[in-house]
Amino acid sequence: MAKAFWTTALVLASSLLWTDASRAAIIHVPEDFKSIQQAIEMAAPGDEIVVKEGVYRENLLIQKPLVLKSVAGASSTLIQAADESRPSIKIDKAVNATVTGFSATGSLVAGVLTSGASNVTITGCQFTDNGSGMVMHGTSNSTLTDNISNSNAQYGLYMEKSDNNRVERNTASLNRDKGFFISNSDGNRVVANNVNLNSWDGIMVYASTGNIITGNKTLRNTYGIVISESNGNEVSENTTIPNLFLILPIFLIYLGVVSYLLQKSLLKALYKERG
Amino acid sequence: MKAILELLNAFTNFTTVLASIGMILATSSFISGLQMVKGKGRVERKIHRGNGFIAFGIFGILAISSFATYGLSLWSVGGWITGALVIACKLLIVHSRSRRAFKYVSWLGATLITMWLYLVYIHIPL
Repeated sequence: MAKAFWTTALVLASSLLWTDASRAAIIHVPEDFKSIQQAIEMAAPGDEIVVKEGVYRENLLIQKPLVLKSVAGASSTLIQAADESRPSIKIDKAVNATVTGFSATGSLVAGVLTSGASNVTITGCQFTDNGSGMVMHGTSNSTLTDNISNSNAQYGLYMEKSDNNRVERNTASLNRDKGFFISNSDGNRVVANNVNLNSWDGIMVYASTGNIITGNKTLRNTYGIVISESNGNEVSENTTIPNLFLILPIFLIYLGVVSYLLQKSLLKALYKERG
Repeated sequence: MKAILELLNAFTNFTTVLASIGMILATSSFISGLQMVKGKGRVERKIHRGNGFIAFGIFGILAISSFATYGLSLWSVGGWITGALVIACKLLIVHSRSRRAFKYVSWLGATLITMWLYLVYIHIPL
């Protein structure tokens, strides 16, 4: 009886210990660590790092699976590149890393750069005034959703040798070269993005196959969507000139003619009364 | 229905409204200007001048708003100055009262309408 009791207790205790060890820890910045990079280095794979609002002057390097998220969202949590020659956030050869709700600025390279990574998720972030907003090198099966990548010196998104990624509902505007530049990358889904007002192409697909580019808005770029030296890509239901661009000017000219006739009648009536 | 909603949605933006008013006034001014060339009377002159001056004021406000929002870049400053020069050139020709120069006024008017079309185009919200 006593032996059975002790055996059960031992099993229960070990299962509790096992659960504790396998559960991801939540690390708070700046309460637990002053800098985000310190928290990343001390975190175990699978941990979650929760960052309070503020400006953090550092270059983040993520090389393990973890979740990095902000409490207050991208509008009030800024990563300012301490060294402008390195990306503000770099995800290097990591699997299952997630970055949510940060702004990143001040890097001559990129707001966020993923290199040799897979299953990365970047969502709800803002990348402005960097060399490029988001750069993916050799990255696969990753997801970029609901990010804003505006006013960068080159591209909103640059994808090189990166396959089977999802790029959805992002905004890339006012970049001084291309909005999205997809080069040597296959099987990506580029869906429902707003890619407007970029100095050169809205979306450029170069030497790539099997990409799905659908439901995107590409307005007021020099060229909307450019497919070059590529085949087998599906390009459908993208908007380059909405109806409004035609309807509004015609409507205004009509109003102008009506306004002229009204003014003429009014003034004639006025002068008749006086005369 | 969708087109009407899109149209109404465009007017929620202040600069779009301003550019649209400018376009309407420029059109009225252009038509009355053509009538003036045909030799019609003072009603046309009043419409032409009144609408033209207000449209020029709106042009100035749009330029200032553009500089305040997007900063001063070479293309932007160059574009607005070119627009102002077209307006100034038109005013100069009209005030010169030279018959020879008058031949080109309708062309300048058409250029101004095209300029306003472009201004409306760039102010349509995305």
